[in-house]
Amino acid sequence: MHISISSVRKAFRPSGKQLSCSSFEMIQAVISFETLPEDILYHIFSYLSVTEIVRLQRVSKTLKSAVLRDATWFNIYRTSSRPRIPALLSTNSASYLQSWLTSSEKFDRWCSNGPRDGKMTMDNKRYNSRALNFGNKELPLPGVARRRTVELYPDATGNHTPYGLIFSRWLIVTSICSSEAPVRCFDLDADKGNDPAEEAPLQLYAKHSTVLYTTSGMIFDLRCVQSTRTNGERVAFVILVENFFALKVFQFHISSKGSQPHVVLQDVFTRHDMHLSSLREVSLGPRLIAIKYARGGTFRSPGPKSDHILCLDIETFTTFTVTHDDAASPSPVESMLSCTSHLLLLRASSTHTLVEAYEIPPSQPNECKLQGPANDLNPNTSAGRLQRSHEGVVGSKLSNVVIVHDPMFPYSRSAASGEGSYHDDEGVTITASFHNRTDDHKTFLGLVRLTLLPRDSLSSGGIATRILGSHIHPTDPSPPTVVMDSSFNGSTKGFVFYPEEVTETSLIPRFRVRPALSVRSPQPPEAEFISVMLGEGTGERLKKRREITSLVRTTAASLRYTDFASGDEDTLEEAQAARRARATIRVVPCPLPVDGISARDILFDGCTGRMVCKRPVRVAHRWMKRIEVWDIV
Amino acid sequence: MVHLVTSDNVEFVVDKEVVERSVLIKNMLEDVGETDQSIPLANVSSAVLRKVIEYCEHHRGEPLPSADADQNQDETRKRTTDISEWDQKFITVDQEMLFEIILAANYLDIKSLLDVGCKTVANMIKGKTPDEIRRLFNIVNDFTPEEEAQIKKENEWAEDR
Repeated sequence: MHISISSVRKAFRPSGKQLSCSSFEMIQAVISFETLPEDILYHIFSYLSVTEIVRLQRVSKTLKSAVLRDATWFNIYRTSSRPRIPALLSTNSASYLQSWLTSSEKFDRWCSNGPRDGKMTMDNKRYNSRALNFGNKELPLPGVARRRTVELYPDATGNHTPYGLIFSRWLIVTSICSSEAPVRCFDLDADKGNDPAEEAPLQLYAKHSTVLYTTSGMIFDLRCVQSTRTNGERVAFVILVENFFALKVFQFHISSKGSQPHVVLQDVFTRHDMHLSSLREVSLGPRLIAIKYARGGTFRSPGPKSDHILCLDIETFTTFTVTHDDAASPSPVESMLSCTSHLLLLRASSTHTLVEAYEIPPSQPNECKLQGPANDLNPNTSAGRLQRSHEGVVGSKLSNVVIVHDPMFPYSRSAASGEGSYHDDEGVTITASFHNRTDDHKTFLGLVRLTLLPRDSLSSGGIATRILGSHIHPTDPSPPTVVMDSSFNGSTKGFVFYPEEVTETSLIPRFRVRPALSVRSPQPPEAEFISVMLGEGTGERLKKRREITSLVRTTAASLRYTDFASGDEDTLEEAQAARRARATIRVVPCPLPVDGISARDILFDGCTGRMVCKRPVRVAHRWMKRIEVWDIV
Repeated sequence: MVHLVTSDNVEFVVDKEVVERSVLIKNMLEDVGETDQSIPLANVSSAVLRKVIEYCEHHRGEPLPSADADQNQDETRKRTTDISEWDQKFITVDQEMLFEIILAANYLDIKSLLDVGCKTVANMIKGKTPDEIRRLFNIVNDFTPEEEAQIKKENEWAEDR
């Protein structure tokens, strides 16, 4: 019997994976690096950093085209160790992946080239150093930071943050109290190639930069949320409260007409509620958008304030009510987490947190999509109810909770765990800061894993919790409050802290990390550096700065050495030793000027290093609010 | 024992256990069953196959990475470019041989050898300037100075080290 090559190929690649033709032809020719078959080139790339791959472009035309190929970036993304967007790869997102990967690499380089361990000595050879004026002091800047600004209306002095950042590119701005209340949109990447040293006013992204005029004239609140659908598509919504009566949900679309991207806010849902007084919280998941708003307690609708939760299916825009018995569980809902399979409500009392999981019914793809905006006039009617499927108690008070791992999300589900069932050890992993039950003064930071136990005939299911890693300040019995909203906001390698308003009166500042991007990583990243958002100061300020630096460093060290991934107490010490051996903790004071800005007003994308903040400025005897966009270029 | 015939018509007789490190040959043997027929490997020369067999002999008995574990590692683990000492010595060959080994490992579907080869190439590239890479791989710079300056400017952040 003689086996021919063609039968060999047929027989041994039954999965349909074709042998690359080039490897057959190439064998005859002289083999060189440039002429390696594509798949081997990608394999080599997977061992290189993004910086090195980008640098390869300059070698030759052949390599340049190889680097710029779409498939290259899918492969880099697939093999990247970077915590990533929970998304399936779609064929039209190569340029997005490329810009995401390069800008996060840029930011990483910027951070690691920066001053180490808080020392402000800089090596001028290494980067383009440029001085920025911080009050009285000139501070050299690693890399070049670029500021662009947009002026708000003079009367926009409300305490709300009237802007949101979508996909780290689109800045949505409104003037809360303006009588015209247009919603405007800026494309922050529109003038990418311009001179970075230039301070420029923001360009409106297109002729139609006003994406929306409200009908009722006044906007009282604006929120932007973004997430990924279960099919991997990125999705974003803008939620507006108009005139106290109407809550509107707009879906954010980008269509490319010609070369210009075109932003559309599509009205998908309106709720009129006479008692609506304020927007509390919005949580967007792959399936559901959960909106918590307060009713009553205003001069228009007097009476006690009560919170109301509205859930909206992001496919069909049908609403769900949450059946919760407020009398039985009097603690208010502290946070909402929208996962792929469940909506988690966390009710915190002073000593513990009650976690309730509500099952999200499977979506019905046949259900006809609503034409035009859904408009429900009666808030008491809804398409369905979410039934409570699990509940459990965590023996600490959890706050500032953010999901870092959702086992049911298609991307993170491993092949080993069965369809639709939870793996033994898997559960929703969240970051939270929590207080000890016995000693309220102690604040921990860390990861908690909630596992929803499957229901069987005997039990109704429950929630098992396990604290995977925590930090307590080792020396100070009553450490200052450290707030960490989300440490995985931008899929950099590190945690990003910034102090909540460093003022002369508050000696102990709080740290805050805001979830600017809803990026979740399959496994928590290693903190290789810590970026501290601090301005430079003198005297009291400088002292505070030192305190902050040391506190962050302690926190960082502790977080760094906690093995989040395994969460196994026994292996913890080993893992700690192993990591300590190769760990370099760096506290990098981030020289973006944040003095005088409330942390609430800072939107920070840790991935690209883009910061958007609001700063009061005095223009011709009037106080104005100015939105500043800082880019690291 | 398995008989392999290379492109230059040299026959190799190799232990079944050794040669089954190649997924291609393993599947082939499973398919045709026990046979005394020799298997033609038209894409592999004898010099390269000798090296590949040397590699497989040394790693005899080591568990083959399962497809599943492999997938996970690819997707989420940090990729390290560390190469074991023996492998490092084994792969210290001239450039043409290195690429031939990589191609053969790809064709024969020997994942671990392909990894070693690609890591070696990656390590050669690491930390080198474009000019050094050109000299290393004997690549002709086909950009005009203007074009090169343009690319350099576009990716300035990646340039300084």
